[in-house]
Amino acid sequence: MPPSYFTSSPITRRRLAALTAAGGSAFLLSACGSDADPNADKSDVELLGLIRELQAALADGYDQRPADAPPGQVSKAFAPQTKALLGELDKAISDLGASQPPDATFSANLDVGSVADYEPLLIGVTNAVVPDLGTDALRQLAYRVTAAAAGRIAATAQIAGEDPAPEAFVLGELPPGFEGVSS
Amino acid sequence: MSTSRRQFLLRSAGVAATAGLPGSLLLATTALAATDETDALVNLIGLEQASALMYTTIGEKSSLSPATKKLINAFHDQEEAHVNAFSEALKQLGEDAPQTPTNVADINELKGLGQAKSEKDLLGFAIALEQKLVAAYLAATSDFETGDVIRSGSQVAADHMQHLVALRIANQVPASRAIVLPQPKAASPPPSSDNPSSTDSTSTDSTSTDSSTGDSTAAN
Repeated sequence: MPPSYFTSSPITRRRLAALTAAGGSAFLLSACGSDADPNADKSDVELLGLIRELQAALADGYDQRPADAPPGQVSKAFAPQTKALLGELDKAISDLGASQPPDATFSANLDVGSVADYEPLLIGVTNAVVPDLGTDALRQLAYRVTAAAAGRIAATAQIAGEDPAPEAFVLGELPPGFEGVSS
Repeated sequence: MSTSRRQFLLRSAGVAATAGLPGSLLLATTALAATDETDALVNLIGLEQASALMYTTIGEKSSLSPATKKLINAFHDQEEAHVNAFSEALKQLGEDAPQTPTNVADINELKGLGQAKSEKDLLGFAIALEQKLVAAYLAATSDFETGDVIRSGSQVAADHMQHLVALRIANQVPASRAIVLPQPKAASPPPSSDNPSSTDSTSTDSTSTDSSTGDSTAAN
């Protein structure tokens, strides 16, 4: 791997907010430092497990609780895709030699209002871990997970008459207590 | 430069902010040969530039509804943001970004755009190119090496998927098909006087129970 031409780690969202409040863009640039990537030492199985937790919550939610889901038939449209990607994550974990997916570590503590609230969390967590995944195939799977989640968010918004793509860079959100960077 | 810095600049002040970066912020680099990562970035920037020019062209058409025009204008601005971000990344990796194209006729991906007249035709054209963009970013995971580039690539691929879904729904595609992911397919190099014309095949979709997405092949 060639030397990194950027700062060693991206800034955390919390620090970005603090610096933004402190001054203008020039100050922000000069003051930005680097924060350690807490996921750098995790195995691919552990990293995929983090993504899988949220993908499973979505697949389960869209399949079993359509009444809580976005308006119309959208939730039923989302169930096959979320299940299919969950299957791909499970296969990837199995191919790495794990007999079963890692235990859930943070999703049980999440206070979400509806199934759809998991989508930005899935994007945030996946964005946080994707650079640490060890193979091209796993990174491509992670890209597909975030792209699919972003697409479902856009579909829900578009059907509701809201902006389907408000950001040029889809960052997602990090769950409370989750250690990682999504931006 | 970290992805977060780049994003903050792009959100707050657009191109001017990127151009005004302090020289000390740009890490000293030695002249390096092109790598798979820089080649991928060059190709993706070329595709983003083509998309921005496409949206400029489509946005001028009187056949668009106000809602569609709003989408087109927003997506144009986001493509510009992608170009700026990855051009800066390329610069820090020691390579020059491709020049901004101004003539639709010079871009292979925009062949046939002039024949698209109705809103349906124009949406179909944009859908086909956004499909190519998503496919190209998915394929680029085998070339990206730098952590910031990998993460930014994921964020931008997600944005293009949102464009694709929104355009499909605007073109009356049901949600179950609108959310279908394209298959990965690498972007072609940007056009130059030495590049012969080539015909791309339509990307096939995956992760869906339907095989049809109602997309036009006008750009292929």
